Amino acid sequence: MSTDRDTTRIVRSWLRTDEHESADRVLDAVLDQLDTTPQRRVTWWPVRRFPEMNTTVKLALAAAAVVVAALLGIRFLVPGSQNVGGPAETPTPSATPVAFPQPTALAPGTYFWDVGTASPVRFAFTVPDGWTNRNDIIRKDHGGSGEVALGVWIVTNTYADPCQWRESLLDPPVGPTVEDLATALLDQVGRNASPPTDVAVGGYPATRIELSVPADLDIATCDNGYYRDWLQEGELHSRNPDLDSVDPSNVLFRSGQVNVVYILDVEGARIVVNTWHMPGSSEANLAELEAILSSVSIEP
Amino acid sequence: MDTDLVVRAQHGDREAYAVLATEIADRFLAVARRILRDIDLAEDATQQALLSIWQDLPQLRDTARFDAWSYRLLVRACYAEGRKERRWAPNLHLLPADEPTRGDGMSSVADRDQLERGFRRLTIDHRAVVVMHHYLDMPLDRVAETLGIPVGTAQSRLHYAMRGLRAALDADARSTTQEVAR
Repeated sequence: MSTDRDTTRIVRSWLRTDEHESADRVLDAVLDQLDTTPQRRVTWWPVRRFPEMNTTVKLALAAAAVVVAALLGIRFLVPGSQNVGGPAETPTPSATPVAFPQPTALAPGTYFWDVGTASPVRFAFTVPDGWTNRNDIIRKDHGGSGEVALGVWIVTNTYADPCQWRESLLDPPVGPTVEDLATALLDQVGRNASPPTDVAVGGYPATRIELSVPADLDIATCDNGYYRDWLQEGELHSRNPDLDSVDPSNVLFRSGQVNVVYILDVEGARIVVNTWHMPGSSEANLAELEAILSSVSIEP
Repeated sequence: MDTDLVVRAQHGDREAYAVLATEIADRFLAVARRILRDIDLAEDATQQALLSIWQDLPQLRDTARFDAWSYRLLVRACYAEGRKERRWAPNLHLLPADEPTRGDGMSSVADRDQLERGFRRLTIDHRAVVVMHHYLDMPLDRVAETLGIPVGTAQSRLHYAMRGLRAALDADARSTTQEVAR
């Protein structure tokens, strides 16, 4: 058993490994935004008591306030009431533009997903040039019309309707087997699905399902403005839109997108390898995605 | 920290802030990475924190407290990024496969794996205290001041965090022993 002193020494040593972070990229992005990012100045509203007023003065002030409020209301709330007859106004930029976070470029080579707490296995795979990593999902042409991507999930539950997901989380949750999950995904409303097939990934048997988002679906009309197919380990289901602050670079679904999902049972752990591509993904990108999938090796 | 730079930046001097940000950016990224255990999230948190510092600097009354105040904004940004991690990121982490094994005292691969798992099980609250105390070498009263929590809370968080990490290491030691016994 470790002593407290051992633990402290080990933790301190561990925290000090790999001290080579360079914030140059972040710094460039921040400095680029300084010119368009105003500071929030302190505004002092002195605490002051107005002298006692008689009732007539109070009523006059109240009436004046109502008139001002009404005029402001007309100015800002009534459509078409602004700038009538004058030249078109120049749109002003939002106060704080936020840079779209950029994914990290991956050098060609072999990588692995470390297992974390999620499963007893390690996924190794080889990527060619031009791929990036964002939030542990590897992608090419991130966010573009030809995007291809691959990630690994531990799925704990699914939504019956990925668009109207707020009220459709399965209860009781999806069962623990590969078949349970495959069935739940195939049953999802409004998602075109292919029949499951048996394949192998990394030497392990897997169920392959192809699922697509309807091309005519406007995802902005879905709950909270996004499409949500499953819950992963550690993820919380929240119906409250106020608790969601979606990073646009992390939204994982777009209209017409095709997900090819591989569900594996590796030493008793159900693991999902999720790849996706867009209708405009090139043959070359699809071939690279296929090659990455073929390179997967699983180390229990 | 050069308080003259802080004062100039506080009054809107962008060049002064550029110098200030350059001085602190690497350290901020290192702290964010250790709290979040993810370089992408850490970069986003650092970027957000550096912009928030610029925006809110005029509201800092005591420029001598810049360090503590700015770390607090960084930890807030880490909270925000940590929420995104739960929502979207798979629980798996990407590392170069040919990462060399270090030869220092603690670093068996198994120890590092166990610490990584144990650390990821901690809340951001607990991680922040561990990183500030054991990585930045801040005494606990300063950690408490930085995070805006009572000293007792900082002590408690450190205690339970270290207990969790110790349990993670001991669990690994037990499994190794069992393997040898078989």
